[in-house]
Amino acid sequence: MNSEHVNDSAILTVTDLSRTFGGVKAVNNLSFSVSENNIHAIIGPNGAGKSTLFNLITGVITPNQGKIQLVNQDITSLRPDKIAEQGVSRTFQNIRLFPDMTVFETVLIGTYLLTGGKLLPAVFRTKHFRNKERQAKERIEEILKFVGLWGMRHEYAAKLSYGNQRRVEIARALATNPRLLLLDEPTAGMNQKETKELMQLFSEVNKQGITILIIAHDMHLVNTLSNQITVINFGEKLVEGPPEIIQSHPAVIEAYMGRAEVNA
Amino acid sequence: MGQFKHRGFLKIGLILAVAALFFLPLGISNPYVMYIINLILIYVLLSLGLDLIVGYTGQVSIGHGAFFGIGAYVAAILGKNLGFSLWINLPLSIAVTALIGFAIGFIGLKLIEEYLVMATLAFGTIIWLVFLNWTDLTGGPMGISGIPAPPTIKLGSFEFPFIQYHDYYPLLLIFVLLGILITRLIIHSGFGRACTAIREDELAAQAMGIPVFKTKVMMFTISAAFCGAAGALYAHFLHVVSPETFAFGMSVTILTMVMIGGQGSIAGSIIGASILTVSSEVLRETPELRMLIYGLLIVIMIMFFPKGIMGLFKISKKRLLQRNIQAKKAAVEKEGLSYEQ
Amino acid sequence: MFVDQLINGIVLGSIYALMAIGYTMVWNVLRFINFAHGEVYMGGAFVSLYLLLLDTPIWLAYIGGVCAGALLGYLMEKMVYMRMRSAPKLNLLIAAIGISIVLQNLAQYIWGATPERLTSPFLSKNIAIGDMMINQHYIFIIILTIVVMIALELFINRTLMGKAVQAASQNINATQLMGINANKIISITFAIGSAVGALAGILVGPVFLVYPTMGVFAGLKGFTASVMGGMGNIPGAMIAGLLLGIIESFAAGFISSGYRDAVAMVILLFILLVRPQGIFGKVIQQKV
Repeated sequence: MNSEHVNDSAILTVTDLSRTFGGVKAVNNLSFSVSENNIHAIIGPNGAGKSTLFNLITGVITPNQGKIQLVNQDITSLRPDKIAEQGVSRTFQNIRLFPDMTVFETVLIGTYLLTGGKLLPAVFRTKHFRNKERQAKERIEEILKFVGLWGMRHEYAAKLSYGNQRRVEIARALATNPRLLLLDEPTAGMNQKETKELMQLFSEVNKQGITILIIAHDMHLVNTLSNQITVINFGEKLVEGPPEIIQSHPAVIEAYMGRAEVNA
Repeated sequence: MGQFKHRGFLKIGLILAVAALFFLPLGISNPYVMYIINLILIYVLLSLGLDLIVGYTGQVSIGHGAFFGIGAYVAAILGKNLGFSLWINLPLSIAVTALIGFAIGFIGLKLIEEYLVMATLAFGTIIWLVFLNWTDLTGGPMGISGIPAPPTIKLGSFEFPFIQYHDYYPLLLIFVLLGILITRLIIHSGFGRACTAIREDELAAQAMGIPVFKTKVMMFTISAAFCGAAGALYAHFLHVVSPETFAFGMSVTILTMVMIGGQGSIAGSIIGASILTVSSEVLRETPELRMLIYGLLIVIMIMFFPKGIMGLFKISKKRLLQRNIQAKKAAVEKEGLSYEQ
Repeated sequence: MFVDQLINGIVLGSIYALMAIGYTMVWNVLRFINFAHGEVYMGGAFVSLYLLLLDTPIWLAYIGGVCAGALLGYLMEKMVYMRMRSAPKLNLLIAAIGISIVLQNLAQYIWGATPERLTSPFLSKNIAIGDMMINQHYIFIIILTIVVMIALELFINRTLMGKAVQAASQNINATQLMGINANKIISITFAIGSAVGALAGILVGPVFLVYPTMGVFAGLKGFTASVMGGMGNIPGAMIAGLLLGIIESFAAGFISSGYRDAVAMVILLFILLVRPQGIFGKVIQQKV
């Protein structure tokens, strides 16, 4: 156990996490914690292990060693759906929508944890079942209006603009009612206007009490949006701190900004 | 308001159409035609069942003919040897096929899509070999004949005996309507939506909290039970079961029905079952030509029209929807309002 | 008796191993199980049979059958699978089922359903080893299988094309980026896997006869072997094939002949239940 990482207000605590792929250490002895209500950014050059880290946290892949805790609960090696149940939701680096569904239908999938997947209540249309269905639909109306997609709810999600597709993905994640939202390079490939609008959306989501852990390349975004930054390289933590400190940290400038893209 | 009125009319129309279906036999005098129609009803139940797992959940099975067979043999053996009626055999057939379906789903749905195909094929083959070789129980290649007709239904002074094909029709129709209703109730629920999400993107579905494996196995079980029910009805309707009916070709036939009609569509199942039942009666004399045509249809449909006949309708509906949205957009812009309202 | 069963098992196992190679090679490059592989086995045997009817010399008829099998595999890839690269895997699978049905019934339409025996120059001769007699054709099957396996091993590890196939099995997209034509590699893989499958069908023809549905069980058993060996693992498939043949041969002694074919099916279901990644396999990881 790494004692320097005791964080009382932490919603997520990662301790000594490692994962190798055929000899390559994608994530190596990584420890950090995310404080409740923060917007916490993970930055690092391509191949630094950021997406692997997300896949480890969400249970898509299992770690070789280390521990992942959500508040006080150990979620290491739980199945992805169990982790979602605990209040962790995510978007994917390459947007993953359901190709044959409209915006409304897509976001409705996110209410699975609310409605449940029980069979008999569905067949007998019990009062409880109908109530949950109604609640789910009301919740979606609320979310879609919040992300600004209510007017497009009947369109096929995959046919929307890139920025709006990302909004659908975020809406779907919000529908699971998460405590912690993981965003994997949400603004990659967006134009400036879309990026700005999405940033606005993220801080509104955060104001609702949802902690955000975000992977980003865009330094401008990271600096203005987040209040804590963890820099990783070669699967290891380089430095951590608020943006003001990270910006001027020599190790970061050398390892990351020195050669990787600086979009600010 | 206008839309509600529209929907009300649709509903009344639908009820009338369904009611009219019950009077269909009055217009049919030829028993052979009635036989074909009854057969279509049984196949509709089979395709509905297979479509639940193939169309709605995206997992391919080519062993559903075996579930059909198990349902039929359970009813045949109990009906012939113990004199049980359809009303006891039907729930038993459903229970047995659901149980076996659960086991096969559990085995085949673990790792990759193809494993289910192979597991169901292996399972179908084993079951077929059992039908063929366990002569004491199944009658071997000869099968079982003399399965009793359902008992006469008495409602007050009215009696409905089961003698001709015409008498079976209302019974089969009721079960098909029940099957359609249950299918609808299932797909428009959290469980049904979870299945569709799994079909579209398993990983994204799981990230939304959907227990992928459990959901798939549950749907596979239901799907097997549908075929079990169809089997029990088939045994009591035809009074004969024999192993060659439930060989690999049956599984392929059901899959072809689903593919032709359109995966993930109730109407598609009905259309597919109707087209294939009629065409197989027409091609009765040349079975190898029939299977050749089925195979070609499967390849052509999946390459060029993966959503089947109903998919063609859906495309035009989608276009209509799109045009509607465009029109609304234009109207809204004209009034200087934002579309995002 | 014991040795008899063992030799029968090895012969059967050689056939299953040859079939398993086809499944596993295609899986490696496309992550797809060519469901119609059993029909390549049948097709090769039928073409050999047909060539023999035309008074072709036996060796030429055999080679002709193998080439026809390769062509069949190549054509199904080019005509169907290649056009469906961007389609969901489910669709590819259904297409393969369709192809398999088409080929089976086409064969029945052309050649009829009656099983026929393929000629073999060795079938009527026996070799005495100690005090037991072994059919020369069995020895021929075993030797040819060993030759094919060595040749495949050399091809994959010693030739440029083989190395490209290997690279493709790691990551087909990266291979494309490196300037190797991915479609060409897939075609070659299909052709080689199918040639080996067709050879299996031809070798079996003199013993178990040739008929339109002969590929169904052979395909399933080959697939069983490839799962046992760990999908994508070529040496694993070879060993598992032999193992399956021997198990089946011994198990068949204990049960009635009607259930003989069920043995491999039960093994398949058992493997899928307890060790779906195969005896020698790694856990299959989903790509994110």
